[in-house]
Amino acid sequence: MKKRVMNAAAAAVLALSMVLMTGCGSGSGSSSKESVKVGLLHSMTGSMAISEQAVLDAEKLAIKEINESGGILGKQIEYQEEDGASDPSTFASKAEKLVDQDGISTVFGCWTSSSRKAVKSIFEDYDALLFYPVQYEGMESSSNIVYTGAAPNQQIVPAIEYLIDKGYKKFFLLGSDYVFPRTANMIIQAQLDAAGLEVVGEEYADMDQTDFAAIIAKIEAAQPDVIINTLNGTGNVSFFKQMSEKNYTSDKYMTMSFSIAEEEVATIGADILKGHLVSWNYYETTDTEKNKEFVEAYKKEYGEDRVTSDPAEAAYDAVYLWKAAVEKANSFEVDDVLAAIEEGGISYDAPEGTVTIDGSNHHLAKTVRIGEVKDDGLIYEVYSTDAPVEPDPYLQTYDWAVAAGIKPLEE
Amino acid sequence: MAEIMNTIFNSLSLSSIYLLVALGLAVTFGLMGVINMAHGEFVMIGAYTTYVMQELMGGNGSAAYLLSIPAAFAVTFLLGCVFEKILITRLYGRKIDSLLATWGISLILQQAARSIFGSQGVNVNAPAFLKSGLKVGACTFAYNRIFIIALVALCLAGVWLLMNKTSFGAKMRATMQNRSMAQCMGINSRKIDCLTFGIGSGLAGIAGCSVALLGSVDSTVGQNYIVYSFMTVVLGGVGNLLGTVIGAVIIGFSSIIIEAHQGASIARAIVLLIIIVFLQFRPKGLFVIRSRSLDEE
Amino acid sequence: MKTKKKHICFAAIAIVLAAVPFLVSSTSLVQFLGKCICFSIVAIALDLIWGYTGMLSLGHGIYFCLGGYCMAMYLRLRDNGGALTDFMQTGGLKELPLFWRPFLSLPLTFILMLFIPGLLAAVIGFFVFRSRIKGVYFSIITQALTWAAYSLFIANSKYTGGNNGITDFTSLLGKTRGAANKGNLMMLFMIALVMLVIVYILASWLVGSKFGKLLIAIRDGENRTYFSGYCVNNYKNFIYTLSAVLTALGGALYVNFNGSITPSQMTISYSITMIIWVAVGGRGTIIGAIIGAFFINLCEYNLSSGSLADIWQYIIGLIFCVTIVFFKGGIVGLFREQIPALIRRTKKTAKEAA
Repeated sequence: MKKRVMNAAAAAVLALSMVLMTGCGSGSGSSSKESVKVGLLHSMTGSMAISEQAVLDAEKLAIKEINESGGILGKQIEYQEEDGASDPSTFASKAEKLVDQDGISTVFGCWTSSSRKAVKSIFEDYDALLFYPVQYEGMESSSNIVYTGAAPNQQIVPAIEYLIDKGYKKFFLLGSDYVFPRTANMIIQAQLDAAGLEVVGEEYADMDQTDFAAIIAKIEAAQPDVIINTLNGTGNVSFFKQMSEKNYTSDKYMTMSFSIAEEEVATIGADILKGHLVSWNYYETTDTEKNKEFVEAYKKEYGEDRVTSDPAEAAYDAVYLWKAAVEKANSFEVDDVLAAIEEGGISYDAPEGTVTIDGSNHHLAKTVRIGEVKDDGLIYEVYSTDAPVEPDPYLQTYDWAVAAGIKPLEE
Repeated sequence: MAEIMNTIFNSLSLSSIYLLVALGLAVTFGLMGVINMAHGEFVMIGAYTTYVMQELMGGNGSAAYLLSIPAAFAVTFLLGCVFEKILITRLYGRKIDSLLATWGISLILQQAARSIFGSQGVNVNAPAFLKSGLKVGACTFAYNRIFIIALVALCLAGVWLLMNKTSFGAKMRATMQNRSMAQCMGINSRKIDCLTFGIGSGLAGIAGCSVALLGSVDSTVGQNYIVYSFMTVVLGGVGNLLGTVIGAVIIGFSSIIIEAHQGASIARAIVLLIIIVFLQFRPKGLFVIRSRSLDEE
Repeated sequence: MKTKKKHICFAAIAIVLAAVPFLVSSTSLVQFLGKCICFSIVAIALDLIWGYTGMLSLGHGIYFCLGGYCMAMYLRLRDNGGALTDFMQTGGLKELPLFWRPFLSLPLTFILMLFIPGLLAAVIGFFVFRSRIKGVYFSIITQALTWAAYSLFIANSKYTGGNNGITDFTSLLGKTRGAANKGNLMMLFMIALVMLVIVYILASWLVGSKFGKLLIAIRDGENRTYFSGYCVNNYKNFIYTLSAVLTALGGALYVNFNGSITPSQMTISYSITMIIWVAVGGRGTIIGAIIGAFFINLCEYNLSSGSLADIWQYIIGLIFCVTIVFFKGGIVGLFREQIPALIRRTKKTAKEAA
């Protein structure tokens, strides 16, 4: 009898504790008088943590700077970090938790397109705001997301144009097997077809592939002039190390990469990447006043060995752009901020130059810069557009894209 | 002709990497029946040891790298012994539970790597004498791959000598074949277990040194090798060195050859399916230790 | 005796869960608890093959995703009126692929989402059990299978959405997010809860019957079961297929709460996470699976934020290790055996001291 009662009691306690546990997580409600809450949704564990750490650090730096100079509309910014664990469904749960329970005003987050796509409808349904700071493959727009990274016409398309100008004729497309490289290569294919140039090979490596011998053999067989590289983080390291063991430098096979920034150069080694090209909107060596301050602040906060990179800078910009939008709207409410953004004209004097949010598609006008990796491990600009390029995520202003049938999904 | 030479060399190289990673697993799985899911993390520790040695001794001198091999072995050997004493002995006889418990350890080790070295990967430079490659006609055979093949051969020879020519090896084999009988003969099977697990982990550490030459060194590097190393061990037959070698060769060659004609993801799926089909016909692997007992324990 | 206590415990949990949508105001928490219910169904399925039959499958993620993908395909097609999805368009497809067409109809979807995983499991089970593959070899093979499936799903992005998976759809009952749609969410939650109750009853009945005793016999002494004349392969195959079907059911329910499905739930580490739920909750007791699923997921939901995010990995690794080594019975075992034993011992020493 006693045993039965005790066990029933244990069961009840367990059930109750489960419910209580759900209570302990819910945040402290919406913004208090003195502070406003924002969410930082990135992968702190798992394979994507390698890349997302820098972005998280940049966001925290921006928040710290804003707080030190008096906050926004008189309120200090408090942030709540959530770990997406490199898993899109965890991103979905955490995003929903942030926008619903924790009473936050905006979220800065995501890196992979899969995590962004998983949370996109959540932000739309809850009428919340997400700032997405990473370059991506385009073909998307949302009324609840502001994309502060490059759209394809601000990174991919100009890079190919630059290469065509420089006289490269045979292109080899190499990427990791996920959506960004496949979409990017589809765009590049259309662009090269329009220019009458040849794609001599298109290969996709597995996401966690470590041995590139077979792929390098295919490259040797195809004899391209330039390799367009959309491999992901760890794949890049393996690929370049294994290319260099065969003594293939940028003279033999030039590469143009879209996922190699200063962080990756540090991991791979400047001696291996010397002379290779990358395409971004910002480099640590970009020559603006604001950038000098930014780099100094970043190194002071996180260590002299750390480097800034385009995604980190885009995240830094995102926080300041949100500040600008809030100040223009004079309110933290998402509807007001979105209205201010859509009116146009929200801009910020960023380390990469002035960036402005395009009210119609929520992307930024950004200067395109092609860079070359040099001996000291930093990337130096070899070409840049004269003015910021307007974002065109669906490539509607490019005849060859329209002709190839690239268009928004028909609803 | 050059293409065939290239393919053979690449296959040999890939097989050697898988073999090096799987060698330690073959030893621990073979002797103790412990599936060590943290084996990949020992590889990671070996790779990080290489990085630390490089930082300590400055630059990418040959000495730094050559010293990191015994250093990695020592670090992972000790760590393996510690784990064996703390955790694995309690799971003696419970094979499946050891699989799960070591998975928990692997989570902890990965996070520890992130906490100590940061989430980003670290840069390990190949030493000067391993840069570039041997030119034979139109092909270039990278020196670091040749080095790894040589290293694997050395380790293989070392393990074979240990298992077959030393008294420790004889005790190891006796414990593997019939534990209770070996105990009756006066062999301290607990000590053998501890040292064997240490040796297996040490081999993983050496594998980490080679892996560091070829790819990125970060907290997730172990996860890329773990499934293939299991496949190699299972394919070859538990506890059998020759089987492990043949298993690695099969997997390495089929991966490269299929990848030459298909995309990488499809190639991986095909290789795995080939192995699964193979295991239908020989469920215990290529070389099986036949025993009279009905159950495995 | 024991089963009655388990049923009381389950009834308590079910009642608490039934009250949740009414008591909890935040819709995101209700969504998350709904997902936990789906995970519980999966955990029960895993407990059936691991806790009771002793087969550790490290690749059940594949069935979870198959069920999820089937439901997701239907929901996506329903939401965009049968037109092409964005990844199909990007991949250059001009019309709906053949294997997507059956998912235009709801009844067919219901059938296929259980039939396809079931068929796959039956075929795999037939070949695997016929070769007498068991123990750790079985686990390694299931691991390899799920890895191969993961690679295939990612490689065929124009058919399956690649690593983005299928996104942008609403649940079977329509929109469930936000305060305006709380009604839909509550109904969906109740449906999931009813499914959980049905699965629990089914599983309890199964393990309480002679069949259940046979499963335990297979787990504890497979050879003896053979010698006693039972066709062990058939039993194993049946329970493996059943568990795959239940897992797929969990997956199909899950996408209703999640609004997207990606192959990341097909990975080895996710499949092992599912095992962690069962291990920590208590294997070999259906109720333990439910407790474990809720406990681990709620812990992760609350603890992997902010500064605790780093520590969470240590915690989960440690919980797992410690549970496997010291608390084989998991949480249920803790309450059932270890705490009463502790109380008995302290009572005894108190008596002796007096």
